[in-house]
Amino acid sequence: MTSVCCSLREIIAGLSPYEAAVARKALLEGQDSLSFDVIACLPREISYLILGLLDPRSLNECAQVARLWRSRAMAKDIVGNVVRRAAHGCRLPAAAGSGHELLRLLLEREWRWTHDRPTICKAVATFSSIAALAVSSEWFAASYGRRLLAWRVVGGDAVLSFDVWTISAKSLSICSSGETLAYASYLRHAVVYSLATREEQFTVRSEVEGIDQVDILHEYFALQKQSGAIEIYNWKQRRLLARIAPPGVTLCSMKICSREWIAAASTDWNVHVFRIADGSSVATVDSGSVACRDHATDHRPRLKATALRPELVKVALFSSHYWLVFDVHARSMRAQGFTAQHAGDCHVILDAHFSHMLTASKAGGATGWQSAHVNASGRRCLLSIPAPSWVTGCRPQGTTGGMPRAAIDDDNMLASVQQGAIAILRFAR
Amino acid sequence: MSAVDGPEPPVVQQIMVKLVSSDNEEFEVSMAVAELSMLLKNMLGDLGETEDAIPLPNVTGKVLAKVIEYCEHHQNDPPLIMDEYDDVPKRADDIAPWDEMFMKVDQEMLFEILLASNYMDIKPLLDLGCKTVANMIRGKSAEEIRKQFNIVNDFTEEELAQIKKENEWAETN
Repeated sequence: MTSVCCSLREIIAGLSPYEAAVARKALLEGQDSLSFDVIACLPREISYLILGLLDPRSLNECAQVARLWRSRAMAKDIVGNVVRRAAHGCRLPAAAGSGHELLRLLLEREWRWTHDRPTICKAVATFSSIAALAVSSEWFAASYGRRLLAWRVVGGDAVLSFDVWTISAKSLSICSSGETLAYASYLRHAVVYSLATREEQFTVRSEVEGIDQVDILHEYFALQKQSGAIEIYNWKQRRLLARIAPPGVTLCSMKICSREWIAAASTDWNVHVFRIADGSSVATVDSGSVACRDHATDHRPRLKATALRPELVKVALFSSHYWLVFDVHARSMRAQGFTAQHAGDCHVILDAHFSHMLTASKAGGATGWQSAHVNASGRRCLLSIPAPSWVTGCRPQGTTGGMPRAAIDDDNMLASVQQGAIAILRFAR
Repeated sequence: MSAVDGPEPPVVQQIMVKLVSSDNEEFEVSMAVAELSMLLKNMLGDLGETEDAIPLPNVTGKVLAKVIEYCEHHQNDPPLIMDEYDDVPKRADDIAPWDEMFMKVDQEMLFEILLASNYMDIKPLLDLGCKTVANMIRGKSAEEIRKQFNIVNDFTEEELAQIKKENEWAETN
């Protein structure tokens, strides 16, 4: 009997994991359903297909299951794809060599949103309501009253580094390089400031129409007028490059994606990509039909866009209740990977980016805005900030009043506002 | 399959194809159904119209029946658009209700379906199988995954220490 057992064990040891599982099932009658290591039994390429569908967190768990799982889950291409998809085009340190390292960075960052206290949590009393806000990787900017302020992240603090007296801003934008700040005033003029010298670099005056929005990226400066028409300037060369006003559509929000493209959303929630050099149309994405399917599109959308690669533009479109993210492939003019999300009944979207949105909730009574929530795509609430902690250290003039304003980007920064105070939070270490 | 109620449909002579499983079970399916499998499509293209049964030595009758059930339900689907670039966010939560019911099978059958769809080159079924397995893994801890698939933790002490070290950022708070 013993020898039979031994040889059986030897036979089973020589089988593939799947065959062994079947054999075990055959031996152990009464076990109805067979569970076995699917990943180990499948051909490598199918297991890669499966693992490639996971989110970073689940993939990281897979890498801790067993040796074979670890080697499959940490295969370079798999981690790379999963991380790139989850990062949604936000910046990850290029220095991180292996996919494994990237995965860890991404998970850590998500962890910070959920568990960490922000490294900077600064409150600034403004004593008047905020007109406009902007964030970029190293800078926060705000306009209230007649002041235009910008804070720079230095060490673990946000230091007031820019302070000019001007007219109340309607729109603000900071260049991602941290060199310039663009602003449009209610008095129909738009200015490009150098953040270092605080000097005006370039000014545009609009004779008749108001200017709704400005955007700046390197030497390109775009402004959108009330009618929706967009003008693109090269502010260094002080010349107009293009004027975009496509017939039959009303543009309502725009963003410079790269030195090559500018994207704009129209009131019907479609997205248009134009060439910066001459304003010619490159692609029109019928995102309106996607939005219409599950959302009333009578609210004008706001748009964020960036070029992930020269030919690939990532777009986020949102209104106060609905958020839509997708990719536009500029060469083939196709859009893919639509992800949509509703804010929920008692939430209002204050700002959104490619992988996060910031909402304020009215829960707990209709008297004021109670809290802000940062949500990742996939409906997970990452962070919830009760209103009082936004304004620690200064006296808010009551929590009632207008809508809070906020700005967020994927580099873990967040500027949120109560009436009479700005809170600056940063999560990057 | 061609039985349709209501107004008489135009009578089309359906070309039928015979398939034989590894355990010599014979199945007859229409050309349209068979062509969902790229393997069969290519074979039929080479063979032309044939009376002979096509052997599928890697697929048992039980699994082939299941695969054919899938293909018959999906025979009128529009063709898949191939992705031009590889980093399109792939969704795993967009499984149609019928497909979800279809995939309510034990792990053994799921595994067999994956292998068969890979061998027969039926991309949508392979995708569906992968999504199903991915959904079984998603959101679970390593320990839960081990339990789900009956896996033995075969890491050495040193490896375990290394893994713990890599993930210690999650423990500190």
